[in-house]
Amino acid sequence: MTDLELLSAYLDDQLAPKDRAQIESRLKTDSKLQRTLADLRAIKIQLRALPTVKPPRSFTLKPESVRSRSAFNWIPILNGSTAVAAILFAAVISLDLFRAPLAARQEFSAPMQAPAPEAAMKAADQLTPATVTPTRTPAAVSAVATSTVPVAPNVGGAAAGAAESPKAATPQAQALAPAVRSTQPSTSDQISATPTPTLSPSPTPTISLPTSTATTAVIVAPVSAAAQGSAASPLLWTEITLGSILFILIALSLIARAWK
Amino acid sequence: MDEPALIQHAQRGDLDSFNRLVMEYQTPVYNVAYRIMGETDSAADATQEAFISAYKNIRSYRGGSFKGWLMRIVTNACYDELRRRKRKPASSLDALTDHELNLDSSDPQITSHAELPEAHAERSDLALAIQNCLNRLPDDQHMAIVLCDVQEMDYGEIAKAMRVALGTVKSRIARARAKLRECFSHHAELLPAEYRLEGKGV
Repeated sequence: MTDLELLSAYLDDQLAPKDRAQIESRLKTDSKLQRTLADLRAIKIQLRALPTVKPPRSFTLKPESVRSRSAFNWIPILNGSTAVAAILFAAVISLDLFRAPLAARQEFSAPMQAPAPEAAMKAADQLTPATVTPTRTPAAVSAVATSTVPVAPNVGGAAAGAAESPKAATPQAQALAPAVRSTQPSTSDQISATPTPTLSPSPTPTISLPTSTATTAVIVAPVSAAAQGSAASPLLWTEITLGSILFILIALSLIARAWK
Repeated sequence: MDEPALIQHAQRGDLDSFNRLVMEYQTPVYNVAYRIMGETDSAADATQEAFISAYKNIRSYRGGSFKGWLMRIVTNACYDELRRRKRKPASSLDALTDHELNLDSSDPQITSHAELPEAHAERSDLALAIQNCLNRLPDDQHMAIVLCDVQEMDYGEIAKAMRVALGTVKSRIARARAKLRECFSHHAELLPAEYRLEGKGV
Protein backbone atom coordinates (compact mmCIF):
# COMPACT_ATOMS: atom_id res chain seq x y z
CA MET A 1 0.00 0.00 0.00
CA THR A 2 1.32 3.45 -0.91
CA ASP A 3 1.70 6.22 1.67
CA LEU A 4 -1.27 8.00 0.11
CA GLU A 5 -3.47 4.91 0.44
CA LEU A 6 -2.26 4.42 4.02
CA LEU A 7 -3.05 8.05 4.93
CA SER A 8 -6.44 7.93 3.18
CA ALA A 9 -7.45 4.74 4.96
CA TYR A 10 -6.08 6.15 8.22
CA LEU A 11 -8.27 9.20 7.78
CA ASP A 12 -11.33 6.96 7.37
CA ASP A 13 -10.27 4.76 10.29
CA GLN A 14 -10.00 1.76 7.98
CA LEU A 15 -6.48 0.59 8.85
CA ALA A 16 -5.53 -2.59 10.65
CA PRO A 17 -4.06 -1.87 14.15
CA LYS A 18 -0.53 -2.77 13.00
CA ASP A 19 -0.64 -0.40 9.99
CA ARG A 20 -2.27 2.27 12.10
CA ALA A 21 0.50 2.14 14.71
CA GLN A 22 3.12 2.27 11.98
CA ILE A 23 1.68 5.35 10.24
CA GLU A 24 1.12 7.16 13.54
CA SER A 25 4.74 6.55 14.43
CA ARG A 26 5.87 7.99 11.08
CA LEU A 27 3.53 10.98 11.34
CA LYS A 28 5.26 12.08 14.55
CA THR A 29 8.50 12.79 12.68
CA ASP A 30 7.61 13.24 9.00
CA SER A 31 6.35 16.80 8.31
CA LYS A 32 5.64 16.02 4.64
CA LEU A 33 3.36 13.17 5.67
CA GLN A 34 1.66 15.49 8.16
CA ARG A 35 0.95 18.06 5.41
CA THR A 36 -0.50 15.42 3.13
CA LEU A 37 -2.75 14.15 5.89
CA ALA A 38 -3.90 17.71 6.58
CA ASP A 39 -4.76 18.18 2.89
CA LEU A 40 -6.71 14.94 2.72
CA ARG A 41 -8.60 15.89 5.87
CA ALA A 42 -9.45 19.30 4.37
CA ILE A 43 -10.81 17.60 1.24
CA LYS A 44 -12.94 15.26 3.33
CA ILE A 45 -14.32 18.17 5.34
CA GLN A 46 -15.11 20.16 2.22
CA LEU A 47 -16.91 17.27 0.59
CA ARG A 48 -18.94 16.63 3.73
CA ALA A 49 -19.81 20.30 3.88
CA LEU A 50 -21.29 20.30 0.41
CA PRO A 51 -24.79 21.75 0.64
CA THR A 52 -27.78 19.50 0.25
CA VAL A 53 -29.36 19.98 -3.15
CA LYS A 54 -33.12 20.22 -3.32
CA PRO A 55 -34.69 17.67 -5.68
CA PRO A 56 -36.21 19.39 -8.72
CA ARG A 57 -39.45 17.42 -8.38
CA SER A 58 -41.15 14.66 -6.47
CA PHE A 59 -40.12 11.13 -7.37
CA THR A 60 -43.23 9.40 -6.06
CA LEU A 61 -44.44 6.70 -8.39
CA LYS A 62 -47.73 6.72 -10.25
CA PRO A 63 -49.64 3.45 -10.71
CA GLU A 64 -49.56 3.70 -14.51
CA SER A 65 -45.80 4.26 -14.62
CA VAL A 66 -45.18 1.22 -12.44
CA ARG A 67 -47.59 -0.88 -14.52
CA SER A 68 -45.99 0.14 -17.79
CA ARG A 69 -42.54 -0.46 -16.41
CA SER A 70 -43.41 -3.82 -14.93
CA ALA A 71 -44.85 -4.96 -18.25
CA PHE A 72 -43.89 -8.34 -19.58
CA ASN A 73 -40.19 -8.70 -20.27
CA TRP A 74 -39.78 -9.75 -23.91
CA ILE A 75 -36.00 -9.91 -23.96
CA PRO A 76 -35.61 -13.56 -22.79
CA ILE A 77 -38.28 -14.69 -25.25
CA LEU A 78 -36.65 -12.77 -28.09
CA ASN A 79 -33.26 -14.22 -27.17
CA GLY A 80 -34.67 -17.77 -27.11
CA SER A 81 -36.50 -17.32 -30.41
CA THR A 82 -33.36 -15.90 -32.02
CA ALA A 83 -31.33 -18.88 -30.81
CA VAL A 84 -33.91 -21.37 -32.18
CA ALA A 85 -34.10 -19.55 -35.52
CA ALA A 86 -30.28 -19.48 -35.73
CA ILE A 87 -30.07 -23.24 -35.06
CA LEU A 88 -32.74 -24.01 -37.68
CA PHE A 89 -31.06 -21.71 -40.19
CA ALA A 90 -27.69 -23.40 -39.57
CA ALA A 91 -29.33 -26.83 -39.97
CA VAL A 92 -30.94 -25.90 -43.30
CA ILE A 93 -27.69 -24.38 -44.57
CA SER A 94 -25.83 -27.55 -43.52
CA LEU A 95 -28.41 -29.69 -45.32
CA ASP A 96 -27.98 -27.57 -48.42
CA LEU A 97 -24.20 -27.88 -48.24
CA PHE A 98 -24.56 -31.64 -47.78
CA ARG A 99 -26.74 -31.81 -50.86
CA ALA A 100 -24.32 -29.76 -52.93
CA PRO A 101 -21.87 -32.64 -53.59
CA LEU A 102 -24.76 -34.86 -54.77
CA ALA A 103 -25.95 -32.16 -57.09
CA ALA A 104 -22.40 -31.64 -58.29
CA ARG A 105 -22.14 -35.36 -59.02
CA GLN A 106 -25.33 -35.19 -61.07
CA GLU A 107 -24.04 -32.18 -62.90
CA PHE A 108 -20.74 -33.93 -63.51
CA SER A 109 -22.31 -36.15 -66.13
CA ALA A 110 -24.38 -33.33 -67.62
CA PRO A 111 -21.39 -31.20 -68.64
CA MET A 112 -19.87 -34.29 -70.21
CA GLN A 113 -22.97 -34.61 -72.35
CA ALA A 114 -23.93 -30.96 -72.51
CA PRO A 115 -21.42 -29.91 -75.15
CA ALA A 116 -22.36 -32.96 -77.13
CA PRO A 117 -25.96 -31.94 -77.86
CA GLU A 118 -24.97 -28.63 -79.39
CA ALA A 119 -22.16 -30.13 -81.34
CA ALA A 120 -24.16 -33.14 -82.25
CA MET A 121 -27.18 -31.09 -83.27
CA LYS A 122 -24.93 -29.07 -85.52
CA ALA A 123 -23.43 -32.22 -86.86
CA ALA A 124 -26.87 -33.64 -87.35
CA ASP A 125 -27.92 -30.56 -89.29
CA GLN A 126 -24.96 -30.96 -91.53
CA LEU A 127 -25.56 -34.62 -91.79
CA THR A 128 -29.10 -34.24 -93.04
CA PRO A 129 -28.13 -35.42 -96.50
CA ALA A 130 -27.33 -38.73 -94.96
CA THR A 131 -30.34 -40.90 -94.69
CA VAL A 132 -30.80 -43.87 -92.56
CA THR A 133 -33.24 -46.59 -92.97
CA PRO A 134 -34.33 -49.20 -90.58
CA THR A 135 -32.97 -52.60 -90.97
CA ARG A 136 -33.15 -55.85 -89.21
CA THR A 137 -30.02 -57.19 -90.75
CA PRO A 138 -27.48 -57.94 -88.03
CA ALA A 139 -24.68 -57.64 -90.57
CA ALA A 140 -25.38 -53.96 -90.98
CA VAL A 141 -24.65 -53.21 -87.34
CA SER A 142 -20.93 -53.29 -87.89
CA ALA A 143 -21.32 -50.99 -90.84
CA VAL A 144 -23.22 -48.50 -88.70
CA ALA A 145 -20.56 -48.51 -86.07
CA THR A 146 -17.84 -47.90 -88.57
CA SER A 147 -19.65 -45.46 -90.80
CA THR A 148 -21.40 -43.20 -88.33
CA VAL A 149 -18.71 -42.54 -85.84
CA PRO A 150 -15.97 -41.43 -88.22
CA VAL A 151 -18.34 -39.11 -90.01
CA ALA A 152 -18.41 -36.46 -87.35
CA PRO A 153 -14.77 -35.35 -87.40
CA ASN A 154 -15.05 -34.56 -91.06
CA VAL A 155 -18.30 -32.70 -90.75
CA GLY A 156 -16.88 -29.79 -88.84
CA GLY A 157 -15.05 -28.70 -85.74
CA ALA A 158 -18.26 -28.33 -83.79
CA ALA A 159 -18.99 -31.99 -84.11
CA ALA A 160 -15.63 -32.97 -82.77
CA GLY A 161 -16.83 -32.98 -79.18
CA ALA A 162 -19.54 -35.41 -79.91
CA ALA A 163 -17.49 -37.65 -82.09
CA GLU A 164 -14.36 -37.56 -79.98
CA SER A 165 -16.26 -38.87 -77.04
CA PRO A 166 -16.30 -42.57 -77.70
CA LYS A 167 -17.53 -43.28 -74.16
CA ALA A 168 -20.68 -41.30 -74.86
CA ALA A 169 -21.13 -42.30 -78.42
CA THR A 170 -20.21 -45.94 -78.45
CA PRO A 171 -22.71 -47.34 -75.92
CA GLN A 172 -25.50 -45.49 -77.60
CA ALA A 173 -24.31 -46.62 -80.91
CA GLN A 174 -24.36 -50.14 -79.63
CA ALA A 175 -27.80 -49.72 -78.20
CA LEU A 176 -29.17 -48.27 -81.36
CA ALA A 177 -27.26 -50.53 -83.66
CA PRO A 178 -29.93 -53.14 -84.20
CA ALA A 179 -32.28 -50.54 -85.57
CA VAL A 180 -29.92 -48.35 -87.55
CA ARG A 181 -28.31 -48.79 -90.87
CA SER A 182 -26.67 -46.29 -93.12
CA THR A 183 -27.91 -46.42 -96.68
CA GLN A 184 -25.14 -44.23 -97.99
CA PRO A 185 -21.58 -45.14 -98.68
CA SER A 186 -19.50 -44.92 -95.59
CA THR A 187 -17.18 -42.08 -96.58
CA SER A 188 -17.87 -38.59 -95.39
CA ASP A 189 -17.14 -37.07 -98.79
CA GLN A 190 -19.90 -39.07 -100.24
CA ILE A 191 -22.25 -38.06 -97.49
CA SER A 192 -21.68 -34.35 -97.94
CA ALA A 193 -21.84 -34.70 -101.69
CA THR A 194 -25.24 -36.38 -101.71
CA PRO A 195 -27.84 -33.58 -101.75
CA THR A 196 -31.12 -35.46 -101.57
CA PRO A 197 -31.82 -37.75 -98.79
CA THR A 198 -34.29 -40.55 -99.21
CA LEU A 199 -36.35 -41.80 -96.40
CA SER A 200 -37.56 -45.28 -96.84
CA PRO A 201 -40.99 -46.03 -95.39
CA SER A 202 -40.75 -48.22 -92.42
CA PRO A 203 -42.71 -48.79 -89.16
CA THR A 204 -39.48 -48.92 -87.26
CA PRO A 205 -38.18 -45.53 -86.05
CA THR A 206 -35.34 -44.17 -88.09
CA ILE A 207 -32.61 -42.62 -86.03
CA SER A 208 -29.19 -41.37 -86.94
CA LEU A 209 -26.57 -41.70 -84.26
CA PRO A 210 -25.53 -38.07 -83.83
CA THR A 211 -29.12 -36.90 -83.71
CA SER A 212 -30.12 -39.51 -81.22
CA THR A 213 -27.15 -38.68 -79.03
CA ALA A 214 -28.13 -35.04 -79.09
CA THR A 215 -31.72 -35.80 -78.33
CA THR A 216 -30.84 -38.06 -75.46
CA ALA A 217 -28.48 -35.51 -73.99
CA VAL A 218 -30.94 -32.69 -74.44
CA ILE A 219 -33.62 -34.72 -72.75
CA VAL A 220 -31.42 -35.96 -69.93
CA ALA A 221 -30.09 -32.53 -69.00
CA PRO A 222 -33.45 -30.80 -68.47
CA VAL A 223 -34.81 -33.78 -66.63
CA SER A 224 -31.92 -33.81 -64.19
CA ALA A 225 -32.12 -30.01 -63.82
CA ALA A 226 -35.82 -30.23 -63.21
CA ALA A 227 -35.23 -32.97 -60.66
CA GLN A 228 -32.71 -30.75 -58.85
CA GLY A 229 -34.89 -27.69 -59.13
CA SER A 230 -37.94 -29.41 -57.71
CA ALA A 231 -35.90 -30.57 -54.67
CA ALA A 232 -33.82 -27.40 -54.22
CA SER A 233 -36.64 -24.93 -54.54
CA PRO A 234 -38.39 -25.65 -51.20
CA LEU A 235 -34.99 -25.73 -49.50
CA LEU A 236 -34.06 -22.37 -50.96
CA TRP A 237 -37.37 -20.89 -49.86
CA THR A 238 -36.85 -22.32 -46.37
CA GLU A 239 -33.39 -20.73 -46.24
CA ILE A 240 -34.74 -17.35 -47.35
CA THR A 241 -37.64 -17.49 -44.89
CA LEU A 242 -35.49 -18.59 -41.95
CA GLY A 243 -32.82 -16.02 -42.81
CA SER A 244 -35.43 -13.25 -42.87
CA ILE A 245 -36.94 -14.40 -39.57
CA LEU A 246 -33.48 -14.57 -37.99
CA PHE A 247 -32.64 -11.08 -39.22
CA ILE A 248 -35.90 -9.64 -37.83
CA LEU A 249 -35.42 -11.39 -34.47
CA ILE A 250 -31.84 -10.11 -34.11
CA ALA A 251 -33.01 -6.58 -34.95
CA LEU A 252 -35.88 -6.82 -32.41
CA SER A 253 -33.51 -8.15 -29.71
CA LEU A 254 -31.10 -5.27 -30.26
CA ILE A 255 -33.92 -2.72 -30.19
CA ALA A 256 -35.36 -4.24 -27.01
CA ARG A 257 -31.96 -4.12 -25.29
CA ALA A 258 -31.30 -0.55 -26.37
CA TRP A 259 -34.76 0.48 -25.15
CA LYS A 260 -34.26 -1.22 -21.81
CA MET B 1 -43.03 7.16 10.17
CA ASP B 2 -43.16 3.47 10.91
CA GLU B 3 -40.56 2.42 8.38
CA PRO B 4 -40.74 -1.38 8.85
CA ALA B 5 -44.55 -1.32 8.50
CA LEU B 6 -44.35 0.81 5.37
CA ILE B 7 -41.76 -1.54 3.89
CA GLN B 8 -43.97 -4.54 4.65
CA HIS B 9 -46.99 -2.90 3.03
CA ALA B 10 -44.88 -1.92 0.02
CA GLN B 11 -43.69 -5.51 -0.26
CA ARG B 12 -47.34 -6.53 -0.55
CA GLY B 13 -47.75 -4.10 -3.47
CA ASP B 14 -49.08 -1.04 -1.60
CA LEU B 15 -47.83 1.84 -3.75
CA ASP B 16 -48.99 4.52 -1.27
CA SER B 17 -46.79 3.05 1.44
CA PHE B 18 -43.86 2.93 -0.96
CA ASN B 19 -44.46 6.54 -1.97
CA ARG B 20 -44.22 7.58 1.68
CA LEU B 21 -40.79 5.95 1.77
CA VAL B 22 -39.92 7.79 -1.45
CA MET B 23 -40.84 11.12 0.10
CA GLU B 24 -38.69 10.32 3.10
CA TYR B 25 -35.57 9.36 1.14
CA GLN B 26 -35.80 11.20 -2.16
CA THR B 27 -33.53 14.07 -1.01
CA PRO B 28 -30.51 11.94 0.02
CA VAL B 29 -31.02 9.64 -2.95
CA TYR B 30 -31.21 12.58 -5.34
CA ASN B 31 -28.13 14.17 -3.73
CA VAL B 32 -26.03 11.06 -4.28
CA ALA B 33 -27.20 10.97 -7.89
CA TYR B 34 -26.49 14.69 -8.29
CA ARG B 35 -22.97 14.43 -6.88
CA ILE B 36 -22.19 11.41 -9.05
CA MET B 37 -23.79 12.62 -12.27
CA GLY B 38 -22.80 16.26 -11.81
CA GLU B 39 -25.94 17.74 -13.36
CA THR B 40 -29.62 17.87 -12.57
CA ASP B 41 -31.33 16.13 -15.48
CA SER B 42 -29.25 12.97 -15.36
CA ALA B 43 -29.47 12.98 -11.56
CA ALA B 44 -33.28 13.21 -11.72
CA ASP B 45 -33.43 10.40 -14.29
CA ALA B 46 -31.17 8.18 -12.19
CA THR B 47 -33.22 8.92 -9.06
CA GLN B 48 -36.49 8.05 -10.80
CA GLU B 49 -34.96 4.86 -12.20
CA ALA B 50 -33.70 3.98 -8.73
CA PHE B 51 -37.14 4.31 -7.10
CA ILE B 52 -38.85 2.35 -9.86
CA SER B 53 -36.22 -0.37 -9.51
CA ALA B 54 -36.61 -0.30 -5.72
CA TYR B 55 -40.38 -0.75 -5.98
CA LYS B 56 -40.03 -3.63 -8.42
CA ASN B 57 -37.41 -5.34 -6.26
CA ILE B 58 -38.62 -4.47 -2.79
CA ARG B 59 -39.46 -8.10 -2.07
CA SER B 60 -35.73 -8.84 -2.26
CA TYR B 61 -35.07 -6.42 0.61
CA ARG B 62 -34.14 -8.54 3.64
CA GLY B 63 -33.74 -6.04 6.43
CA GLY B 64 -30.79 -3.85 7.39
CA SER B 65 -30.48 -0.20 6.50
CA PHE B 66 -33.22 0.71 4.04
CA LYS B 67 -31.35 3.90 3.20
CA GLY B 68 -28.19 1.90 2.44
CA TRP B 69 -30.26 -0.43 0.24
CA LEU B 70 -31.64 2.55 -1.67
CA MET B 71 -28.14 4.02 -2.00
CA ARG B 72 -26.91 0.83 -3.58
CA ILE B 73 -29.77 0.96 -6.08
CA VAL B 74 -29.19 4.61 -6.99
CA THR B 75 -25.45 3.97 -7.31
CA ASN B 76 -26.21 1.19 -9.81
CA ALA B 77 -28.60 3.46 -11.69
CA CYS B 78 -25.86 6.09 -11.93
CA TYR B 79 -23.37 3.44 -13.04
CA ASP B 80 -25.76 2.38 -15.83
CA GLU B 81 -26.28 5.98 -16.89
CA LEU B 82 -22.53 6.65 -16.95
CA ARG B 83 -22.01 3.53 -19.07
CA ARG B 84 -24.71 4.75 -21.46
CA ARG B 85 -22.94 8.10 -21.64
CA LYS B 86 -19.69 6.40 -22.55
CA ARG B 87 -21.46 4.61 -25.39
CA LYS B 88 -22.83 8.00 -26.54
CA PRO B 89 -19.97 10.42 -25.89
CA ALA B 90 -21.79 13.35 -27.57
CA SER B 91 -24.44 13.54 -24.82
CA SER B 92 -21.72 13.35 -22.16
CA LEU B 93 -19.89 16.28 -23.70
CA ASP B 94 -23.13 18.25 -23.82
CA ALA B 95 -23.70 17.59 -20.14
CA LEU B 96 -20.17 18.65 -19.29
CA THR B 97 -20.55 21.86 -21.27
CA ASP B 98 -23.80 22.66 -19.50
CA HIS B 99 -22.12 22.10 -16.20
CA GLU B 100 -19.11 24.23 -17.09
CA LEU B 101 -21.49 27.03 -18.05
CA ASN B 102 -23.28 26.69 -14.72
CA LEU B 103 -20.04 27.28 -12.87
CA ASP B 104 -20.39 31.01 -13.38
CA SER B 105 -23.89 31.20 -11.97
CA SER B 106 -25.20 30.52 -8.52
CA ASP B 107 -27.02 27.25 -7.96
CA PRO B 108 -30.67 28.07 -7.21
CA GLN B 109 -31.41 24.65 -5.88
CA ILE B 110 -29.12 24.68 -2.88
CA THR B 111 -31.41 24.52 0.11
CA SER B 112 -29.69 26.73 2.68
CA HIS B 113 -31.53 30.06 2.75
CA ALA B 114 -30.45 31.31 6.17
CA GLU B 115 -27.21 32.88 4.91
CA LEU B 116 -26.50 36.37 3.71
CA PRO B 117 -26.50 36.65 -0.11
CA GLU B 118 -22.69 37.09 -0.22
CA ALA B 119 -22.07 34.07 1.96
CA HIS B 120 -24.55 32.08 -0.10
CA ALA B 121 -22.79 33.11 -3.32
CA GLU B 122 -19.42 32.10 -1.89
CA ARG B 123 -20.73 28.78 -0.76
CA SER B 124 -22.29 28.24 -4.15
CA ASP B 125 -19.03 29.06 -5.92
CA LEU B 126 -17.12 26.71 -3.65
CA ALA B 127 -19.72 23.97 -4.07
CA LEU B 128 -19.63 24.34 -7.84
CA ALA B 129 -15.82 24.35 -7.86
CA ILE B 130 -15.79 21.16 -5.79
CA GLN B 131 -18.41 19.60 -8.03
CA ASN B 132 -16.30 20.57 -11.03
CA CYS B 133 -13.31 18.79 -9.48
CA LEU B 134 -15.48 15.75 -8.76
CA ASN B 135 -16.71 15.68 -12.36
CA ARG B 136 -13.14 15.48 -13.60
CA LEU B 137 -12.51 12.23 -11.74
CA PRO B 138 -12.77 8.85 -13.44
CA ASP B 139 -16.24 7.35 -12.84
CA ASP B 140 -15.09 4.65 -10.43
CA GLN B 141 -13.15 7.07 -8.24
CA HIS B 142 -15.91 9.67 -8.48
CA MET B 143 -18.51 7.24 -7.22
CA ALA B 144 -16.31 5.88 -4.44
CA ILE B 145 -15.42 9.31 -3.05
CA VAL B 146 -19.05 10.52 -3.19
CA LEU B 147 -20.26 7.47 -1.27
CA CYS B 148 -17.43 7.82 1.24
CA ASP B 149 -17.19 11.56 1.86
CA VAL B 150 -20.58 12.92 0.77
CA GLN B 151 -22.79 10.06 1.93
CA GLU B 152 -20.45 8.93 4.73
CA MET B 153 -20.78 5.27 3.94
CA ASP B 154 -18.11 2.94 5.29
CA TYR B 155 -15.77 0.96 3.04
CA GLY B 156 -17.76 -2.26 3.44
CA GLU B 157 -21.01 -0.60 2.30
CA ILE B 158 -19.23 1.04 -0.62
CA ALA B 159 -17.70 -2.28 -1.66
CA LYS B 160 -21.20 -3.82 -1.63
CA ALA B 161 -22.75 -0.93 -3.53
CA MET B 162 -20.04 -0.92 -6.18
CA ARG B 163 -19.62 -4.72 -6.18
CA VAL B 164 -15.85 -4.56 -5.80
CA ALA B 165 -13.32 -5.75 -3.22
CA LEU B 166 -12.54 -3.72 -0.12
CA GLY B 167 -8.96 -3.15 -1.31
CA THR B 168 -10.28 -1.70 -4.56
CA VAL B 169 -12.44 0.74 -2.61
CA LYS B 170 -9.43 1.86 -0.53
CA SER B 171 -7.36 2.38 -3.65
CA ARG B 172 -10.09 4.29 -5.52
CA ILE B 173 -10.75 6.61 -2.61
CA ALA B 174 -7.04 7.34 -2.13
CA ARG B 175 -6.55 8.09 -5.83
CA ALA B 176 -9.66 10.26 -5.90
CA ARG B 177 -8.38 12.27 -2.95
CA ALA B 178 -4.98 12.71 -4.60
CA LYS B 179 -6.62 14.09 -7.75
CA LEU B 180 -9.01 16.30 -5.77
CA ARG B 181 -6.05 17.65 -3.82
CA GLU B 182 -4.44 18.76 -7.04
CA CYS B 183 -7.69 20.18 -8.41
CA PHE B 184 -8.50 22.03 -5.15
CA SER B 185 -5.07 23.69 -5.23
CA HIS B 186 -6.25 25.53 -8.37
CA HIS B 187 -9.28 26.90 -6.48
CA ALA B 188 -7.41 27.86 -3.31
CA GLU B 189 -9.03 31.32 -3.21
CA LEU B 190 -12.45 29.71 -2.75
CA LEU B 191 -11.40 27.59 0.19
CA PRO B 192 -11.48 28.85 3.78
CA ALA B 193 -7.97 29.87 4.92
CA GLU B 194 -7.65 26.97 7.35
CA TYR B 195 -8.36 24.47 4.58
CA ARG B 196 -6.15 25.85 1.84
CA LEU B 197 -4.14 23.05 0.36
CA GLU B 198 -0.52 23.00 -0.57
CA GLY B 199 -1.03 20.42 -3.30
CA LYS B 200 2.40 18.95 -2.64
CA GLY B 201 3.77 16.23 -0.48
CA VAL B 202 3.22 12.46 -0.80
